[in-house]
Amino acid sequence: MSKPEKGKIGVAHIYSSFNDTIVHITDITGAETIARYSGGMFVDADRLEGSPYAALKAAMAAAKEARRKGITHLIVKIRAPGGIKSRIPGPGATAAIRGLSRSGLMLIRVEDVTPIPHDGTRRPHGRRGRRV
Amino acid sequence: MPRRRAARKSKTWYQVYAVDVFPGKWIGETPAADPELVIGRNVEVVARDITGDFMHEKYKLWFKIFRVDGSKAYARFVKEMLNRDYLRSIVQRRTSRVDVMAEGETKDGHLVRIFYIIITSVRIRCGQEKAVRSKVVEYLSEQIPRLTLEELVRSSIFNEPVNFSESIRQISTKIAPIKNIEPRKTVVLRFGEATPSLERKEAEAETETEEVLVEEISHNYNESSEHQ
Repeated sequence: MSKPEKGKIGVAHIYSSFNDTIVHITDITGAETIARYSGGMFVDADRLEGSPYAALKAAMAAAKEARRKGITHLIVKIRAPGGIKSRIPGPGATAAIRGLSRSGLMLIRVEDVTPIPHDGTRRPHGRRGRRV
Repeated sequence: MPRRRAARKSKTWYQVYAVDVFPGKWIGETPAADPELVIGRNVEVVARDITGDFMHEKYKLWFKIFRVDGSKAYARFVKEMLNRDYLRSIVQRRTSRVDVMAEGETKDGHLVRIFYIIITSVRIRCGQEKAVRSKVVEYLSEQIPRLTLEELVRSSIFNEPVNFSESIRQISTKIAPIKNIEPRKTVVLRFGEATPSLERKEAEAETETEEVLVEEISHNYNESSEHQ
């Protein structure tokens, strides 16, 4: 990796489900947290935690803190719940990326790191699904 | 009364350098309050970032920090893997995917396991798959003890000093039509006792300079004694 002339590289781990969006910026090893915000920190109603607006706010707050700590470049890793749950990122994922790039951070690459089992357990609620 | 906060220790950033594979290359930087905390951290790098070649975008490399010297941290090669997106793009319908795994000890004593993926141009029979797999495993098991860890990884990515892909193609194309061959994964299971190549190079350079100094001193001494 070519070293940036000025500033440092961080990794933005974005966990996006239909119920919430978590933006967690760490160093390149993932061992040190630089900033961590979630959608629920910016809206009052539970049902709005996973909304694009909350995700945008969370991403912008995380980006602001990261910039203050000297991060200028980001590698973005997007994650949906995965496993037996949804493998599609929630509505906040794209908004969070937009929030990071709009805050003046340079995005090196965006990759999908949703955990996909090679072989897993069966989804609950049987053949006919959850009956409500 | 406001809660008193414990004084935070300021963190220093450590520059991480690769040691055995791509020796001396900068692979990242990490902050820590104590140098001991840096040891054991893993750094993930895309091969393209190291080599600068666009074709190497599909390979990901993992390094583990094992030594800290001042503000420099040194990391050993742990794992190489194919990018998930690329792997999904090469596996298609109406073709067969043959996964091959071989394990062995390298020339410098590291226990490694390498995985290759062979994609055929048409769907092949189970017997053909088995034949391809056994031949390729035999070939890879022969090659591992002949190479060092660095040479093994370079052979996977750059096809030098040994062109694994071409050799596997030549072996398996007699049995089934081959479309694509990729090094899916290389993992170090156990580190050997061999010193990493960067340290070896540095030690060699130091001994060379020492020898030169000794020669110079002895030469000067002889000259001065002749004058007297």
